[in-house]
Amino acid sequence: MKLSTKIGLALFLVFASALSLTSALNYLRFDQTLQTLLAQRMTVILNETSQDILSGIDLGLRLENMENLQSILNRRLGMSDTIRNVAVLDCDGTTISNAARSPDEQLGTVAATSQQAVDQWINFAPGSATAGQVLRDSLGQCAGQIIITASSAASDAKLANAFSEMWKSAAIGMGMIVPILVLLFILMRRRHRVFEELHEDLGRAVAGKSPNIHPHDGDVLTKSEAELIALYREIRDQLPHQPPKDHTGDVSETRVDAQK
Amino acid sequence: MTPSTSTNAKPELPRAGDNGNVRSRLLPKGTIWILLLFSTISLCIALIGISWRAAELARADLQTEIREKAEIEARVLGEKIENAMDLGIPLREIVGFETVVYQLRDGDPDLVFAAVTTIDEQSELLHAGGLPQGEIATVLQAPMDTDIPYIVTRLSVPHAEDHDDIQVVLGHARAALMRPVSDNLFDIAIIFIITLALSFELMLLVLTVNVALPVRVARKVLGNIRERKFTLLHGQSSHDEIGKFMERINAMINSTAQKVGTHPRPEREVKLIGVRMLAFMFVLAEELARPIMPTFFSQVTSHSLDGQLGAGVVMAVHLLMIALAMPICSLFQEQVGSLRMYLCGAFLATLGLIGTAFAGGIWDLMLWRALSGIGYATTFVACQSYVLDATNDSNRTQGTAMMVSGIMLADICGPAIGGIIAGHFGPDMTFIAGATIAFLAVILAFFLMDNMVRGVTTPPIPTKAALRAMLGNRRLQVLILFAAIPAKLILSGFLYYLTPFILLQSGATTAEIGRVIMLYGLTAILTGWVAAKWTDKKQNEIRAVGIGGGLTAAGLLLAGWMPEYALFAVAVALLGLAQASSIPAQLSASLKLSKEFTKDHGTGPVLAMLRLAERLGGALGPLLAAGLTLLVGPTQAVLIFGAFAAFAVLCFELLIGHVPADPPAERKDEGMAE
Repeated sequence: MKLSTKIGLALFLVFASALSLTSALNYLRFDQTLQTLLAQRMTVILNETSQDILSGIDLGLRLENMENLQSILNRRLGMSDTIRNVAVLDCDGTTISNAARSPDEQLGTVAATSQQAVDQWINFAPGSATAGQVLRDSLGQCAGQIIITASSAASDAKLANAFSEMWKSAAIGMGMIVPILVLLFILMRRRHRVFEELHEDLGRAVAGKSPNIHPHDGDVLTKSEAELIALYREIRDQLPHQPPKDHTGDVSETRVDAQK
Repeated sequence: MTPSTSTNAKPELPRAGDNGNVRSRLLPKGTIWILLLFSTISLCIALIGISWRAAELARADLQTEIREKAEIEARVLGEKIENAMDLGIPLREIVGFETVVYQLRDGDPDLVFAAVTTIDEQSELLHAGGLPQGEIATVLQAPMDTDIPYIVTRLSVPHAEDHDDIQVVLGHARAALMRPVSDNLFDIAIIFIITLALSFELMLLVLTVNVALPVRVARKVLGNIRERKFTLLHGQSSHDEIGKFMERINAMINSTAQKVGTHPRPEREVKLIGVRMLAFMFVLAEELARPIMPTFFSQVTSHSLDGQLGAGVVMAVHLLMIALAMPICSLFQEQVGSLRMYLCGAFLATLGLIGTAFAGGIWDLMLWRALSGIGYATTFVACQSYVLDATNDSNRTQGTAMMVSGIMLADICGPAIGGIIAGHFGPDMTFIAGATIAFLAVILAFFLMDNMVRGVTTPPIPTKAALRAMLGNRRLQVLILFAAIPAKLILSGFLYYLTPFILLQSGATTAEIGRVIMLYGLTAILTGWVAAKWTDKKQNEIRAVGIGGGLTAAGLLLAGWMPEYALFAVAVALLGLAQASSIPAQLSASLKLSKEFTKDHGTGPVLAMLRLAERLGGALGPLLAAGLTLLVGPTQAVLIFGAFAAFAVLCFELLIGHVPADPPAERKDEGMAE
């Protein structure tokens, strides 16, 4: 593989990794923010509903006996279009009251309260989010639970849009590699010219001709290359350069002289 | 080419870069810097562009989400007001509105204020919370197109017959729209720095293998020609311009050598740079999970032991295995070879990291961490031996520095990247990411390590008496007891255990913890060179060790006294500076203090002794930190660590000049006779 290809490949890898990491990071943070906003909306509704129900429980009412339970749930359901279902269940997970936008969105089976690790939780699944809270009476005993299901379809659509936009931007950002590769091509061509001149000069040296002028020696890539060429020039400058008569004879004769 | 003794023919030709013009003096030689500068600027522009696009998206998409949230909150407030009025409380006499606003704020930190106003021309403010009434009134009276720092949401509440219609107004911070981007700014900056560092590594690898090494060998060959020897050929494989140019030079050397009767041999250099990448990878694999280790280990071990102590025990087991495995691996390195040893180590580290990710209790976690420790020690010894075998006295320090800089770079990148990964994907994925890197190192080792590199000389084996003399060296004892052991003990106890633990407790995210830990490596790599230069110039290693100890104590006492995020960052940076000035100085000081011993038996035993003591100190650190955390709490533990560092440096300074120097070691022949 040519040096220019290797450098180009290394630059490409650096660009690709930096841009994809940044895009992924922005996308993940966007996803996190959308989830937080949805969770905040659900938490507000969950808190308000639980406050209403707990005030009844504090008065000594059982969930099954609360006459206004359904109206409370309907009111909460109407607070946001994203909320698809609000349900009150007993501690075993059996539905006591349920408000849903459509019969299809009625709450299914829910785990018993004893299986819940925490009193308030929120789970995100593709297309929906479920938040729940365990209701506790004044003695700290479980009195039931509230489950709210929200549709995350709108958030998912925004997320999908953000995904495509982020990768589109990353792809456009990768376009910045083109001028760099052009610059690399130019620099490598200039470097190539230096070595072409050196080859030519080497030919002249063998022929015993005087060194050619070397205006492009500064076009090499690194300082070490510049030093290498300077060393070559130093040796070359010490060589005799008279018009050649017989190349081979001349070279070997001088060399043997030098060894002596 | 025809070398000649004649100097008369030397032409006065201009030399590249030797024109004496301003450009050649100000700018570096060669053109690669133009490419690197241009690439850095382009990368910077591309990253800013992506973040700007993300900000635009956030502004557009999140505004509707925030408005929807505000509407729900406004409805809740409206409902409460209606309830109060249904109970017969006049609208203006409702109390506790402010408390309700603060309750709402608990669930929504972006909410700045809420108010109830009448819907008429005056828009009279009836109730307000979150901000002073005057300020809210100013915001509400501002024209719609005015640029205010709040997203204002208004919700009309239709009313009972004999009351005016009212509206609930909520103000959310406009900055919330930019949160996905502003929260990411630090992470993006970290990614930018790390990408630059990694691109530097990659370019260094490409340029060293393809340019620097062939050029170095070519210079040797040309230097050989200049001395008219014709005994060296360019043997470094290079298929580009340098390779072709040197092929022609080789042909000339061959023909000249034939004529003068010499037999030139091909000259080549070992690709030492590869070991830098390999050292970087094995440390990176381990460092990725650094910010989450104490908490993750606490969680896993909480069923069997007190979580904090469990984490300390697990970390100590890991460091202890490193301490024990290193000298054992050193014994077998000659027989096994660096490449095979590295492959075994990286494979063990891969297994250990995968196992850690899925560990379910203290015993299997300890097993996996022990495996990781053995893997780490094995790869470390493999890299170190490779450098020692591939270098000679003239370039050994540079070779070691190359490997150490790879390790330091991993110390910088690892925790920062790991913190970001852990924040988004969880701790188990962070360990799996580490395992993936360790596995990649296995594959890369085949290309980057030369299997032919083997040690050629067996180090001299010291006699028992000589070893006794070395261990009886009082000054070396002081150095080990009061500088080497405390340095590593504090490093592992404070940086690896207490810092992540305390910062996480104070509410910092894993990414923030990663950034703070990263400061250690960053400061060390930035100041290490200056500190080493200063130490070499002054030739006073003992002073450098003392300064390092003093800086460590100052940082720890400061962090223990005021345990705040910023001060922890300062303490970690001071620790980086302290270790950068102290650790290399400790190495040189130990050799100087054992000069008599090293004359006859080499530096190996002294260094092995120092390393073993250091690593044992490192293993003790997390145990001590966990124990102190249990007994007095984490902040007090930092303070005690600080006091211990101060005590150690005081003892070091007081004793090092007052104990007798290295006793004259038994001569080698005497030892042999014994």
